[in-house]
Amino acid sequence: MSVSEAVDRIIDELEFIEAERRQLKAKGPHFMIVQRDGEQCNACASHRDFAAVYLLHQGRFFQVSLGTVLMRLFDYLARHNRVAQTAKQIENGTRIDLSLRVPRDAVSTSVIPRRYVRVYVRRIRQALGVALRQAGLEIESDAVLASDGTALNEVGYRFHGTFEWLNTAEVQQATKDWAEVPNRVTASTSTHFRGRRSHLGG
Amino acid sequence: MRRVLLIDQSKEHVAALKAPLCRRGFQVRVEDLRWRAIQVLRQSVPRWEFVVIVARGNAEEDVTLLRDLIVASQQFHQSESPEFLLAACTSCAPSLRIQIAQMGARYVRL
Repeated sequence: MSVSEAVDRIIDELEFIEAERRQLKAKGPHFMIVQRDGEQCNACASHRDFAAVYLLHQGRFFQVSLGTVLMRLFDYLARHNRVAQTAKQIENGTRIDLSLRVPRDAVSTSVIPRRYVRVYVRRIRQALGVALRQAGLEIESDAVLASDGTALNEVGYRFHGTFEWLNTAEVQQATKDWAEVPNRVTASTSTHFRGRRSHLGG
Repeated sequence: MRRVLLIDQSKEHVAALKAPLCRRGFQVRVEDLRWRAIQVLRQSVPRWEFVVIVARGNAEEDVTLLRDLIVASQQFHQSESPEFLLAACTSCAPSLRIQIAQMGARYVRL
């Protein structure tokens, strides 16, 4: 390979890394919310059985370890990520969502009470922090799930990130397609793969 | 200005790499000595967006250097660590590439 070709390759790579960083800074990390049933997989579907939440970075999936209720809150905040949601709004929002679509007796068990929101947000941040570290991303979980102050004592919670909703069947198909991309392994280690920095010490 | 720390032990080739990088808007500092490169990354103020290691000979040594540089950088800058790129002129064994990826660095074959 000639020197000019070598330089072009280095510059291409540097510009790719720079673009990736810029996008991450502007839009935040990307998440995939997986629901178990195969019916509705859009941001408007409200009553769902969640399977998992993943952080996607450089072609790799990092599970955000959340329980059922936390996944529900995560989903709610993801669907309302344009406006910060206070605990009261979250409680009301989850009640309205559910009352439209599910039997009345299910509503009481799936609504997120406002007094729990702060604790749930803290737990989501802890799980997010683990996933972000695994992905090698140098972003604080507080920056991804941010707290916005209001004129009163209330705090609004808002996600800084991008989201997609899939059901389990779609995820299986997506991962299959992903694996079938030619030279996927080469591509992942050369340009898109970024592993855990925690391995350094070992 | 995008700042690059270029580590290349071949003095003959480094000028040929530096000039086009500067033309494309990168501010380049070249280091040919390992210890000095490590010292540069230990500066208290984070200065570099990219660190490029040009591996011309034994890739294992360069992976060791890469590890040392990343550790040096992280000792002082937990939040603003530069991106590391290992540009290898010779083929690199898959096990080494896995190590590179696990360190969070990029690899490109020249």
